[in-house]
Amino acid sequence: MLEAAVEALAIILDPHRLLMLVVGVATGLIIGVLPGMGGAVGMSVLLPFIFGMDPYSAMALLIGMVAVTATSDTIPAVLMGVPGSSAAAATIVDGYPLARQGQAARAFGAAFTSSMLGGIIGALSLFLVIPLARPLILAFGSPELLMLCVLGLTMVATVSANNPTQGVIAALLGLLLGAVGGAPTSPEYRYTFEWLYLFDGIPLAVLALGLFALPEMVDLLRSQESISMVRSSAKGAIEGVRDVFRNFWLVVRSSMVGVFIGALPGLGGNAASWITYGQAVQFSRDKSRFGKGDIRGVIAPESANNACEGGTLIPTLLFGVPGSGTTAILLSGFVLLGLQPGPRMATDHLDLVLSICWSLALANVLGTASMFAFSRPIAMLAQVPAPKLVPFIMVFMMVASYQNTRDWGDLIMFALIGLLGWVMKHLDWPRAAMLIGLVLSDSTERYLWLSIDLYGWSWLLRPGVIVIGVVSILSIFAARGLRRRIAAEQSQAPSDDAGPAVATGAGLS
Amino acid sequence: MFCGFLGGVFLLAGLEALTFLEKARWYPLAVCGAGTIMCAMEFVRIWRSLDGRPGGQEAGASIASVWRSTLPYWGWIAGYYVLILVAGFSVASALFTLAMLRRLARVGWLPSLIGSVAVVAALHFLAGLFALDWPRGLLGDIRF
Repeated sequence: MLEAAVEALAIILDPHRLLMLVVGVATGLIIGVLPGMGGAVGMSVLLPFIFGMDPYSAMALLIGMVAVTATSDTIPAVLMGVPGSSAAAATIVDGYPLARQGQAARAFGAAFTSSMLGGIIGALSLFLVIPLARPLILAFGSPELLMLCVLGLTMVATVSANNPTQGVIAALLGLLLGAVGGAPTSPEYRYTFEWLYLFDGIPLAVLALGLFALPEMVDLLRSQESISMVRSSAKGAIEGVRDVFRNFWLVVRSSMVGVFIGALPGLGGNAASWITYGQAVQFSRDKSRFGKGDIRGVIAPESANNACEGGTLIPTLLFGVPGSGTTAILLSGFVLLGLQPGPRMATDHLDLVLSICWSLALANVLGTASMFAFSRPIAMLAQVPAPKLVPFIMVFMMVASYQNTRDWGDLIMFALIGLLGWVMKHLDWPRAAMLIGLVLSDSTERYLWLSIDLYGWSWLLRPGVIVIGVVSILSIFAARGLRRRIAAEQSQAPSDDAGPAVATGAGLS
Repeated sequence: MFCGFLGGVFLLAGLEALTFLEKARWYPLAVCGAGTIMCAMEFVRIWRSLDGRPGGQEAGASIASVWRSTLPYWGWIAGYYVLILVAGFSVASALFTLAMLRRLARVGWLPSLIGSVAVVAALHFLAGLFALDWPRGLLGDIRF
């Protein structure tokens, strides 16, 4: 296996293949910066170009792109409170407040470094799992996947510790919005009111953009300030790198969770980001800064969402089961190259699989180096007065929204959700909880019905279900304990101390 | 009020869910039922915490004043939508950028025009690169 890995490295270091990797990375970085685009758009753009390429070059191009979209999507998330892709939504919670405090460069330094390390861990995990994947993935059935959704929903209690009831209501609203459109288990279109646009449900990207980005733009205009009133220091990026190494075990833990969740089809980088964010809060002794610019709130989701890409490749390569929409398009790339992903990939095309591992790792390093080179001028955007910046951001947000279904409904939904998000922000209702609910709604319902259809009610007694269920309950109690601690701290704090507002504070409440 | 609004949404959505096919009904019904109950509980909690306290009225006045101060900017966004509807996205974006830079950012004519042209150029570049599309207006899609 090690010999094969070295051979695969030699294959990918061929100048032409390296060039393809660089082109893929450049495309992925641009895609990630543009809100609402995401890896699937980049994959579909590059797919036609792989005709006639050898498989190694083609995979270097495609993997190079997909590896780094979760790196550059941090830029709009930190700078503008706009998620570059849905996986960056959790980064906004602490990243955006850091930019407001003049620490955009620090946030970037931490985000890019943790993205790189997360991506490398994802690639390493893919390499290590190749001989082990089959029994692991086959052990997870619909009941276990349902419980993972429940675990994700319990993160709501963590991200809304100030008022868990409002968090639960917001999550239920997200679950309800997720029910719009075709029902997963019967031929019924729900809550469409005969509007064709809603037959496919509310696009997640439109909801994320509207919920977080539009309220921020409106409030920036009202305040007439720049994103940051404090000049960002060039040394901030290095401080961010140091933060990552100070929290190295957080990076490792979040990456492993990201890989695990990525390997389970249907959950994706968004779920991984939120779950690891919630865990970062839960396992921290000092939670007071979360939601107000705690660097760990950037490190955890950024490690996870890059590592997640390695995880999604596990079922894609080894079982032919796409772990996400992006990898579904990647599968068609394999078909175009005359390859059949599945269990035989690890035996018949081991060199290609290993070259994919190397592409993933190298792309993350290359992407991070590029981002560091450009982060300082980009961070300076934070000092530009909002009225000068907002028109451009608004135009691109509209473009991003419209690309989801290319229907006027995208723009209408963007405005309506934006209005809702603005109201929630000013009434201190947790928007993050609503997004978590929407993300997990379809999976929760689908796996629930599958579990009942396949196992009756005996699925509740499966060991995996019980273990994950216990973890979920412990999460809720941990959140309640956090709330009591917050209340105790508030009663002891000076009167003008707003107290910790975990993920409902400055960034997203 | 917001809590009451959400409670109303859950209630109406729950009633709508009763009209769905059986397998499609239970999930939204459960979500709406839980949502209605939670909203009612939260409404009561807020009502009790604000009852008789001057702070409650102050909070309401605060959000109303924030809304009033933000209304002009929602108006700008609404105007952008009307422009897109009438003239198409390219023209609307150019005019929106120009107007906002001139009026709100108080930037001079030349930089505003440059910004406006840059927006249109970037839109066309991205459209060519990523095969993007954008809404056409009632006057068709006027592209520069």
